[in-house]
Amino acid sequence: MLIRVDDIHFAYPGGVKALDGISVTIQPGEKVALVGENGSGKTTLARHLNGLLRPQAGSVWIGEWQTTQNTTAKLARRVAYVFQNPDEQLFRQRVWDEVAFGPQNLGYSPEQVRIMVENALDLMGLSGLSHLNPRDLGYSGRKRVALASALAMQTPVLVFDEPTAGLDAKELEYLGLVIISLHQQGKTIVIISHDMDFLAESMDRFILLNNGIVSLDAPAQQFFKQKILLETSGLVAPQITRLSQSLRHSDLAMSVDQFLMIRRRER
Amino acid sequence: MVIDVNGLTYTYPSTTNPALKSITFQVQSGQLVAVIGPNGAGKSTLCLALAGLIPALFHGQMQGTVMVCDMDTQQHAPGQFAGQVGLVLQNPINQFSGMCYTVYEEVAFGLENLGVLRELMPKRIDQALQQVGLAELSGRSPYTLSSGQQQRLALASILSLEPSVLLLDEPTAMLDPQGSQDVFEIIQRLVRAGTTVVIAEHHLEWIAQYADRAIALVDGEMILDGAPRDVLSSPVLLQAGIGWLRYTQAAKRGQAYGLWPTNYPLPVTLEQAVTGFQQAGLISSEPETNDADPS
Amino acid sequence: MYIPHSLYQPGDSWLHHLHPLTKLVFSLAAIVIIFSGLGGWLSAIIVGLLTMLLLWLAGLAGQVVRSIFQLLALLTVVLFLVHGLFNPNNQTILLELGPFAIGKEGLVFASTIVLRLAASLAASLLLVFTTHPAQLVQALTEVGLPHRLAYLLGSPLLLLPQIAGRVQIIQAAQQARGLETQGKLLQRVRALFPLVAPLVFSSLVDVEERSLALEVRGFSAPNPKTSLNELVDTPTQRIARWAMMLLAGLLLAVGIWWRAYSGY
Repeated sequence: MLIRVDDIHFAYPGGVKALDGISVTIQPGEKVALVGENGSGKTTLARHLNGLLRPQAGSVWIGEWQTTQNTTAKLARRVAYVFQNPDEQLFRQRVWDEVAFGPQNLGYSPEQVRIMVENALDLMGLSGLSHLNPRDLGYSGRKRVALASALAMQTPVLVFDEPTAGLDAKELEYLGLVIISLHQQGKTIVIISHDMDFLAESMDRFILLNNGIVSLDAPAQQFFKQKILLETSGLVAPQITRLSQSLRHSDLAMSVDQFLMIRRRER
Repeated sequence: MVIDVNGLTYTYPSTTNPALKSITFQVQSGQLVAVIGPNGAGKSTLCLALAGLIPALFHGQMQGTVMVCDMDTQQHAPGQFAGQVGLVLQNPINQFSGMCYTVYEEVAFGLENLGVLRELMPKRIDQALQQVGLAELSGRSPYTLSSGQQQRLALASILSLEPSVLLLDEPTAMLDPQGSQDVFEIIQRLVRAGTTVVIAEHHLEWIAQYADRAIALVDGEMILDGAPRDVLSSPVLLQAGIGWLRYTQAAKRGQAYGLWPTNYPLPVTLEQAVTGFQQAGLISSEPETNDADPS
Repeated sequence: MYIPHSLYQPGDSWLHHLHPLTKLVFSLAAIVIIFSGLGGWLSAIIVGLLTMLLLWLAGLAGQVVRSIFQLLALLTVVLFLVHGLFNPNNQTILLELGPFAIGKEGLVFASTIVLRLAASLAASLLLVFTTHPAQLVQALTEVGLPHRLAYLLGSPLLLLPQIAGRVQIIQAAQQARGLETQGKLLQRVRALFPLVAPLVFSSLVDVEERSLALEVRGFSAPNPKTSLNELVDTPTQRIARWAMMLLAGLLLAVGIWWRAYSGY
């Protein structure tokens, strides 16, 4: 599912211009990170991808559907969006029902819904907890339920708003594996996050927003070579990448594995 | 000894598993202590206990003692800790009074509660705003600030009360890197000026660089307590779900390939990692010398 | 995320400068007089016009009228329909719609209710728009209301917009999962149900965090509170407050007596 954002402009009521001419094309199957300071426009841009917000100028295409011509509910067939705070979403008494909400809204048959829910629960490691009340799970558990609810919709595109916020190391590792699995299924993944270490390990392409415009849009390697731009944008490069840079590697490492490989090569 | 925790075991009402189990530690004046642990380990509970809010507001069952600034948290109401112990939480907006229309008023709120004389307020407010770098925004509405500025405002509101102990429960969780950096720098300045700080955090890199001490909490128990370098490179963290810094991981795994010197302690900062890897590089690139070479 | 403006409108009008208690007493007295029923809709109109005059002199009339309209429009329509069609006192038929007939008595009844609501709302908004919640809390504390209770009364005025902002986010989250919120009325009503639980839950979490934050800032410290700003009160206002309270009490007593003795 090709995503095309064509010179969009958007200002919130009250006059704050959040997007000032953004054009981005995302190919099917890409793993894209949206980064930038709070207020740079990344959340605003992400919300344009499923019609939660509609551009005041320019257009957003999800495949051949234009977001201004379709309701958010309809666009939810193609783009699943997970909000940062799970508590702003959970409302069903059982995990199973909560995860089933999306597929049910999309009009799938009960049998199809059952399969979709079970797959999502399985992927998120929640199969044994499906009868519990989501509120009784800890924060990490609730976050997993929110994620499962989106995965159950089996959309070709997934947008995650700060999925890493509040997760501990174990949960982050699990999330990384989930993303690998989704990528193998051919999904397009867009993530907003501040956790550079995590993003470097899971994402291929980085888009940096500054005051509503795209300052930098590049694959990970090129992206992190732009040290000065990143610094002025308030970003800190991943630990392992900075280590690579300090040791004057010609290729920058994005993960510990890569680092060790480079190190062994350049010995 | 500014903080003295002895055998603290605490169970929330209507639960059976204690949130904190037999916690014992002391903190000296002016120390910066970091508390790390996976979600649900009890870091927030510990902060609330140190602030005197547990058991007073939460009830539940408590054994052991918590003394902060020579006051026993089980003998004093929360209101009595307010001028001595400050607590900053994750979500800036929930910390606002909900009644103040300007940054200035928000900082004054605590002073009004504590009955500080009106004539003395401006000086304390200005000082607090200076400490967090919000002096120019004193007339703005708290709700128009960025999240980083809002958290600094929450901090200023506490600092105006001039606490000698500052507790922070994941204060940067909702902030971007710049916002986090601003908060950390303020904390560093406060510690240099003599404030005792206990901070629950996930930002291992900052802890490695600036904390005097790190305490690891898992499932309510204190499993490690020591210098950051030792704690952050302990294998225990890996099993506990807290994880290691990437530097530490790279060094440990690099040892197997001779990329990291075997007698070196594992690194927890960029500088330590660079030094170690360069050192290993030098050792492996030195030509072999044969002492018995007859020349 | 955009959060809408609060109810209080900071400003410099003479109403803004009045002591909070004066405005509070005015609002309460107005509401008492309106609902004491004297002269039917006459008391509502007199009080309402007086309030609008005061607001007009302060330059706030336009905003208040707009707010009243927004808040009451739907209710007005519903009331007119319900009473026009089903009020038991309906005798004079004004309009026939098939099997349904709209009666004059019902419409009169409905319009009385709407007038009273509108006038009460105007008096309340006079207080809310021009009074800084913290000052209202301070004023209430100064006359002896317990600090906690005063805060409870003052804080919703600023927190409501936050709740509105949160409702937006929750709705967006449900929409993103395919929930249709546009379209037929029934659909839109159904779309409201998934809002309740997350709103309540996250609001409760907020309330809990906020009460912790308040405690830490000495909210329940036993000493007497001081205040950053001084509330200015004048003898004129004090007299006016007593006068309004007396008048309201008197009219209420007359209203009750009149109803009791005329069997209305």
